[in-house]
Amino acid sequence: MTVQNISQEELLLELQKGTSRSYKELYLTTFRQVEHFIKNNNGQQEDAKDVFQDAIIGLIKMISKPGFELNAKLSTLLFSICRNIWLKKLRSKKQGKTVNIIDDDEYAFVAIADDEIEEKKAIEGKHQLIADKLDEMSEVCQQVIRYFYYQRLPHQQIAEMMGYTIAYVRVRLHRCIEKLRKTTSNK
Amino acid sequence: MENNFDKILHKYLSGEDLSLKEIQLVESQLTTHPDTLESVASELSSVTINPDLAIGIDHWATTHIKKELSTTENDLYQEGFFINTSTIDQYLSGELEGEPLKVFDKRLQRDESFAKEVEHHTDLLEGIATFSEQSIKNDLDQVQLELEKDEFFTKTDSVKTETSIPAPEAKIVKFGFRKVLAYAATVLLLVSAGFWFFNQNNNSQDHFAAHFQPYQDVLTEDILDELSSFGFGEISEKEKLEELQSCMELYNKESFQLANTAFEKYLKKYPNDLEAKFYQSLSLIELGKYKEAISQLDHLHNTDGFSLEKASTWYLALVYLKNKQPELTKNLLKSIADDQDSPFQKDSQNILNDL
Repeated sequence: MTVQNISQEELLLELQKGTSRSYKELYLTTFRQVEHFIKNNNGQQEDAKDVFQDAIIGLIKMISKPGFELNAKLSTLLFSICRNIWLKKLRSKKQGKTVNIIDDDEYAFVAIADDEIEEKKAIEGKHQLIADKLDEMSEVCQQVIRYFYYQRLPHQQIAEMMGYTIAYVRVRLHRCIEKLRKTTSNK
Repeated sequence: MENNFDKILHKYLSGEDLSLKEIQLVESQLTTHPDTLESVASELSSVTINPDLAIGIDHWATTHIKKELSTTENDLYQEGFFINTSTIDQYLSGELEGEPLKVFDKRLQRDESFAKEVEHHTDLLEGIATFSEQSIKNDLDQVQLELEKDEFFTKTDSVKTETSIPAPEAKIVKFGFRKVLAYAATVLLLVSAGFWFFNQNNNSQDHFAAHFQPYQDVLTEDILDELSSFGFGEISEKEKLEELQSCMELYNKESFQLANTAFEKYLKKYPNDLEAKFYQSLSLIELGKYKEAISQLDHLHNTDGFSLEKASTWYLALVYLKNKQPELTKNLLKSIADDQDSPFQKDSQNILNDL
C-alpha cells in the first residue's frame, strides 16, 4: 500500500489510458489531504470519496485538453479540483451565506477554472440507450471512442497508445461510431 | 497470396482486429493503388456525431470511469486504506464489528507500522485516563488549600466523621497528615453537600475518557472573574480576555482545528501569554502536529515559574513518546519521576517501568 514509484509523465500517460494503477496512485498520494480538508470543512470521509471520484473525472478532462502542460504535480491539480468541488457544494448548501474555509497552509493549491468541475447534464432515455449499447461493444471500440470523443485525444496519441497506425485509428473509429449509430437510431 | 491480402484488406476496411504488421501491409499496398486510398479517405473524412450521441458517450464514459474508480476504492478498502483515527477509537472501544472489523484485523496483522500506531494510540488513551484522574485529585488539592486558607479545618475540629470516610488512597499519605485531614474533610464536604464542583469534575472525567481531551480548562473561570470585575476604561485588557475566552471555548468544544487557528491569531497579538501557548500546543497534539507541539512545549517546560510548567513537561514527554523519540521520552519521564512535587510523578514511573 505504499506509493508506487511513477514519474509524473508516466502517471499522466497511464491516467489517459485509464489504468487502475494510475487511479490507485492518485488515491495513495492525494486522498488523505482531500479527506483532511473536507473533514475540516463540515464533511465526512464519505463526502471525500464522492468528491474524489468527480475530481478525477475533472482531472482526466483537464489533462486531455489540447495545449495542456504539466507544470504542477497531478496530485496538486487533483487536490485543487476537489477543493473547488467541495466549496461549491458547501456554498450551494448554505445558499449564499459566507462559508468559513479552513485551508491547510502547508498545501499549496493552484487556481482551477470552474469548467473543470463536472456539471451534471440532463440524461434522457436515449442517452442511457447509447450508454447501454456502448457497454455491449468490443473493448477496442470502447477504448477508441472514449479516447477520441470523450477525452478528445489526437489520433496520433491514440495510435501510440493502442499500437495502431493513425490511418487505422481513423478506420476503426469510423466503423465503431457507425455501428453505435446504427444500433441506437430508429428505436 | 492475393486472396489472403484481399481478406486482410476487407478486415482493414471494416475495422476488425488486425496486427500492426497486417495494418502496415495494407497501408503500404494502398499507396500503390491511389484509387482505393482515395475512396477510403473520402469515406472517412466525415466522422462527426450529433449532440445526443455526444451526451450519450459522455454519460457512458463518466459512468465507466466511476465504475473503475469504485473497483480501485474497494481494493483500497480491503487493504484498510480508509481506516483513520476514529476507526481506531471504535476498534479500541469494541464498537467495530463485521466486515470493517475483519479489514481492521487484517491490516493489523500485515502492516507492522500500523500495528505500532494502534499500540501508541492505546498508550496515549491510557496515559490520558491516568492523567485525568490525577487532575481531579489536583483540583481537590486546590480546594483543600483554599479551605485551609479560610481556616476551615481549625474551625471544624469538631467534625468526627472523618474516620468513616474511605481512606483516600495510599498516594495521599505521602502528602502528610494535615493533607489527609484536609482531603477527608473535602470529601466529606463534597459528599454531604452534593457540591457542584464534584459533579462538574465527574462529567469532565467521562469527557476525558471518551474524547481524550488533554487538559482541562483552568483559565475560563479566571477570565470570567476578571471580566466581571472590570469597569470602563480598560477596554484593551477586556478585549484580550474576551478573545482568550473564545479560544478556550473552541478548545473546550474540542474543535481543535478552529481552536488552533484562534490561538495562533491571539498569540500574534499577545505573544507572551504562556497559558494560551500551553493550550494551543495541546490542540496541536490533537491535530497530530507533533513537531510544532514539541517546539512549543519545550519552550514552556523550560520557563521557570510558569504555572503549568509541570504539566508542560508531562505533555512534552507524551508527545515525544507519540513521535517515537524514546530517548527524550525517557529522560523527561525520569526527571518527572524524580520530582516529588510533580502530580505526574507516579504516572511517569509507571510508563518508565513499561518501557
